[in-house]
Amino acid sequence: MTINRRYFLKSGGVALAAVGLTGAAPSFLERAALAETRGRVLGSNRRKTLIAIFQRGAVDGLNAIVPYGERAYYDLRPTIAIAQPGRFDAALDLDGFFGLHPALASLKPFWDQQQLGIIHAVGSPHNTRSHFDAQDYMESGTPGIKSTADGWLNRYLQSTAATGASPFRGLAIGSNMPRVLQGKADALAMSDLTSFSLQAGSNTAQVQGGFEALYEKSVNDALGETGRETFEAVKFLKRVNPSQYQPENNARYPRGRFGAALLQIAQLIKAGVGLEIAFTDSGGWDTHINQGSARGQLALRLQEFGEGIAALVIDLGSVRMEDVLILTMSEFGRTVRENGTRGTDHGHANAMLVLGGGVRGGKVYGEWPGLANERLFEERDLALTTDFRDVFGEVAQKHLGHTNLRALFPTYAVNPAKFRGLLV
Amino acid sequence: MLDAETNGNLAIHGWIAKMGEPLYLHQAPTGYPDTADSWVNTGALLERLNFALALAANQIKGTQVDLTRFAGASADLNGELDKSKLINAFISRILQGEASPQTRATLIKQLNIPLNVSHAPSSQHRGAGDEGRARRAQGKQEPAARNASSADSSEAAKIAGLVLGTPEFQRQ
Repeated sequence: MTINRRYFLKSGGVALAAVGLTGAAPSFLERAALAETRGRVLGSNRRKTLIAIFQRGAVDGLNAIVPYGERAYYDLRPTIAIAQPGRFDAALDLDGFFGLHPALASLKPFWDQQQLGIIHAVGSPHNTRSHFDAQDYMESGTPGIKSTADGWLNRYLQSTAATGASPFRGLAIGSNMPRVLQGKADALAMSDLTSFSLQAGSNTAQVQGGFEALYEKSVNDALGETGRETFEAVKFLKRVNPSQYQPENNARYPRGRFGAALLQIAQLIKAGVGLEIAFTDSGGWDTHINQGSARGQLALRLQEFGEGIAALVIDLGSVRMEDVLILTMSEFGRTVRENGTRGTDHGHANAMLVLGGGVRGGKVYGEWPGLANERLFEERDLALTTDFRDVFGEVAQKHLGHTNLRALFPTYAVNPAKFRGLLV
Repeated sequence: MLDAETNGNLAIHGWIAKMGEPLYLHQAPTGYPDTADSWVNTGALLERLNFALALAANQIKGTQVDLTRFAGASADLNGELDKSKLINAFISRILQGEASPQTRATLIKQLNIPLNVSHAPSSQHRGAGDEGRARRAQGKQEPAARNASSADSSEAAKIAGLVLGTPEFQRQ
C-alpha cells in the first residue's frame, strides 16, 4: 500500500475527528502521522508511549501494596494497617503475601489479566528525607548530584531527537515544566491543552496573526522554525475541547485535575500527534497526620489514583495499550511504624507500578527485605533492594527501545543483568 | 529599553521561571547558557511571547512600563498618533534599529489593523491556571468609553509587545 499525503489526510482526518479535532492538520502532525503510518505498515518501529506518573509527597507504599503476610506490619501499625484478606475492609489479595489497598480495587482487574506489575522495596539509594531533594534526584536520575542540568526523560528525548520531529514528543500536563522533562530537547508543559495559547484578551487573534507574520518571514533558522511550529501547535490545540471528548468503552475518569490530565493524555495518544513521553503528577500523599486505614485520607487519594489509571487503560483499549506503558513513582516511602498522630513520616524504599504493553504482570517484583527491626533501613524504614534506575532503565530499553542507557543515567552503570524482568 | 520599573515580586519571578530561566535557581555553577538552543522550544517561545504581551500591556503585577511617552513623542502636528513614527521609536529602542525590512513592513501592516475593542468575552476555553490572567485581560477592557490617549497606549502596547516578540529580539 502506498502511503501518501492524500492517504494521510483521509485517514488522519478520520482519526482527528474521532477525538474531537477537526480542520486541517498542521504540517508537523502530518509528518508525525506519516512516520507513524509508515512504521505501522512495515510492521516495525511502532511508536511507543511512556506515561510517567509522579506521586509527589511520598505515597505510603506499605499501605498501598500491603505486606499482609508480615506479622511486623501489624505490630508496627496498630491503628492504620490494612486488614488481611477475608476480614472487614481488607486488603485485596494479590499473591498470598501482598495485597492491594481496597481503595485501589479499580486496578485489580489489570492484575488478574496480568497487565499490572508491581515492584516493591524500590527507590533511590540516597538517604535524603527531603521531598525536594528526593524528587530532584528521581527526576534527574542522578541521586546525590544536584548539578545535573536536565531530567532523565529529557535526556531520552535528546538522544533520540530527529529533525522535523513533532513538538508533542514530550508533554507534561501541569503548570510548570517538571524537572524530569527539563533540558535541551523540545518538551511542552501546559496546565491543560487549551491553555497553550497567546494571551492578549480580545486582541489575541490579531496579535497572533502579527507574530505569525513576523515568524513566517523570519530566516530559516531554529528560531524561525520553532516559531512556525509554535503557532501551528497553538492553532491545533485550539480545536481540542476536552469537555466534548467522549472516552471509549464507558471509561469514567475521576473528577479533578488528575483525571483531567489523564483524559487529555489519552486524547493526544488517540490523535496520533507523535507523543512519546507523557508526564503528570498528583499530590496529597504526605500523610503525617490521620492518614486513615482502609478509609480516610490516604484511601481517598488512592481511589482517585487507581480510578484515573483504570479509566485511562479502559479508554485507550487493549490494542492501543500494546504500545503504551504506564509507570508510577514517588520520591521515597514512609516510615514502617505509624507515628503519634496516626500517620507516617518520611521513609526510604517504596512501591512502583507498571501497567501496559509488554508488562509481565500479576507479579510483585524485587526481593522483599522484610520488616523485622534488624532488616529496616536506619532502623525505621523499608530497606531498598531495587535501584529505581534499574526499573527506568528496563522501561527505556525494552519499552522505548533505547539502547544507550549510559546517556540516560550518566552516573550509574545500568546493568541489564539487574533488570527485574518486568517487561517482555 | 522600555524603562520598566519592577519591585521584583513573585509575579515577575513566576514569569521568568516559566520562560525557562528561573532567577537564582539555575542548577549548575556554570551560569545561564547564552545559546539559543538551550531554550528554543515551542513552550518556552510561547511563554516569552506572552511575557512580551503582558509586560507591554502592564499586566504584570508590581512591574510597570510607561508607553505613553513613546506614544506622545510620536504625535503628528495635529496631535494624532503617527504610527510609523511609533514603530520606529520601538525599533530603535528595543532592537537598536536592527529590524529586517520584512519585519518593519509586517509591523506597519499590523498597526494599520484597527484594535478589537469589543466587550464580548473571549470564546476561547481557558485552563484553570489561566483564569487569573483571563480575568485581568477582560478587566482591562472594563472602562466603556475609551479616550484617545488610552486607545493610543493600547496601540503602543500592541506594537511594543510585537516588537519584543520579534525573531530579531528573541534571538538575542
